[in-house]
Amino acid sequence: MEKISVQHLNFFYGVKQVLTDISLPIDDRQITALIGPSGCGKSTFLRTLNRMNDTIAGARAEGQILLDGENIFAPTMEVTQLRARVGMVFQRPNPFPQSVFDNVAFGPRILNGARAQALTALVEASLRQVGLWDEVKDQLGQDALRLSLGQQQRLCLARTLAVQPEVILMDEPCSALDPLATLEIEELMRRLRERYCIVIVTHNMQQAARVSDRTGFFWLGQLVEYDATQTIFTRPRNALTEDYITGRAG
Amino acid sequence: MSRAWQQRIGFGGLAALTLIVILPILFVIGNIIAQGLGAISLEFIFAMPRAGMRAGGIFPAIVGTILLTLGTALFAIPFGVGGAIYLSEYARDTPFTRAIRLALINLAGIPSIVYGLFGLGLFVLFFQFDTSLLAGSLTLALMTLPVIISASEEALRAVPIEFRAVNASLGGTRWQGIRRIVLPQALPGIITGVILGLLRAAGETAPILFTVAAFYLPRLPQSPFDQTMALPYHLYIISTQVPDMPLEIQAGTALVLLTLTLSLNLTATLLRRYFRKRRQW
Ligand SMILES: Nc1ncnc2c1ncn2[C@@H]1O[C@H](COP(=O)(O)OP(=O)(O)OP(=O)(O)O)[C@@H](O)[C@H]1O
Ligand SMILES: [Mg+2]
Repeated sequence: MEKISVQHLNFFYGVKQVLTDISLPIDDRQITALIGPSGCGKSTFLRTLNRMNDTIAGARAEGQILLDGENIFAPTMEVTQLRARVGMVFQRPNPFPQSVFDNVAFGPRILNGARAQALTALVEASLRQVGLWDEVKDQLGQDALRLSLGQQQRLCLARTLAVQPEVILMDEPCSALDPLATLEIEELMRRLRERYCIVIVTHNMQQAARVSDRTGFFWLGQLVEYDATQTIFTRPRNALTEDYITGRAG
Repeated sequence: MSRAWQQRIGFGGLAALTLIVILPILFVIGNIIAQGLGAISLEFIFAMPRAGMRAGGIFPAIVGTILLTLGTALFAIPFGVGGAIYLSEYARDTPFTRAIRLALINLAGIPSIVYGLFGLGLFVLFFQFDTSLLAGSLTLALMTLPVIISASEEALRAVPIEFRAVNASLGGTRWQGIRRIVLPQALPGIITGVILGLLRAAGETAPILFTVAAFYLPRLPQSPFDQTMALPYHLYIISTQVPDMPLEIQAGTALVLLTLTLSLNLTATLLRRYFRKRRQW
């Protein structure tokens, strides 16, 4: 089922055009991977999906992005509500310098001032979802920055999940992690796929091949090819794509 | 000459320079303590001055300085921290905000007597607050604002932008991010800036000269519209305007002023330490 539909998206930083005429459907309960060389606009694209680019002076988007059929650029779209529905995990683990509990509870607290009891249950559920509960259940009051980097990134994911989003955007979520922690995150993504629409930007071809259902290849701000991951990695139609995934370009 | 020796001479020279800077300060403080300690008594602190200020206590001046500092804080903290939040979190980089920043830098360098005259013109005469605690506090607040705004803005900017982005990505409004993440993280720096500003206010004579300070007023102020004595001005008076002033009382007054400002300083250090312990990123 189609969760997001991007239609003829152009994106500009000032006069510089960074994305050109991007159109693609993104399905619910699937993992969509975005690959491409540095500077081709993957992060920019990802950040337009929850309008995180809004704050950048001079940034401007054209075209439409439909979330469940509703244009996210429409004046009636409340941007804070959009971001609560479309969550995001960043490249570097970035927990707040607060306790583990407060980190996960942050979103629910600002969104609806959740009642104490519901909040505790929500925090536990979110930590369980990322497989962190057993590791931290005795130290919920401990400073989140004392966790390992891999744990921190899973905590950040739990913080995003606690808001109960529908879509999760991940911008190179494993680039700061060691191989083991990377595998943990990938395993997690496969489980979360049952309930969420996931979009991940990655520089790691194997990772895209391992976890994703569909893959989009960006090149100089254009979506060159978008297809089932298996097709992209075995029988790409475009020569540029083939060069890139085989390491001849990029 | 070997490099080890060069280093030894370099360090030695620096140590000597440091000593040269510190010694006079130690000497002055030591001198004030030596000469003024004898004057300190319960009466000196809690009694009204008598005999043309040559006897009795300095209670009204102490209370006046404390009230003035509190009054300054009352006006300077909300506007100062508020202004810093605006500049750091909301204002875009426009000619207007650049002009504000330039003005702040220049305002911080204006001699305090100019603030005094400005306060006289604006608060005392134009707003007709008369010479009063209110006029004096406002004048001192005006003088401290640039310090508080600059220090607070710097502290706010030191908080990683990532935290603001995370807040936004969770559906938080800009204000929620400020309120729940940015401000708490910046607090140690803000407190330092605020107290540095207040310290300067507490010790200044010129800005209160025409706006609040009473030459001799052996009673406590009754309202914000009342005049008051204040320690720096009192010290100035008894050191220059009163003949046959016992040296001990002058040094004692200086000692009280010094203790007051140093304890404010100490509070800042302790608060900063307390908050810093709870923060790291
Ligand atoms: N805030 C900004 N202002 C102006 N230009 C920007 C801004 N952010 C990114 N760009 C430019 O937009 C282009 C696309 O950047 P983007 O970060 O989306 O690329 P990316 O594909 O994510 O690259 P990487 O793989 O290195 O993360 C680049 O040329 C970059 O220099
Ligand atoms: Mg990127």
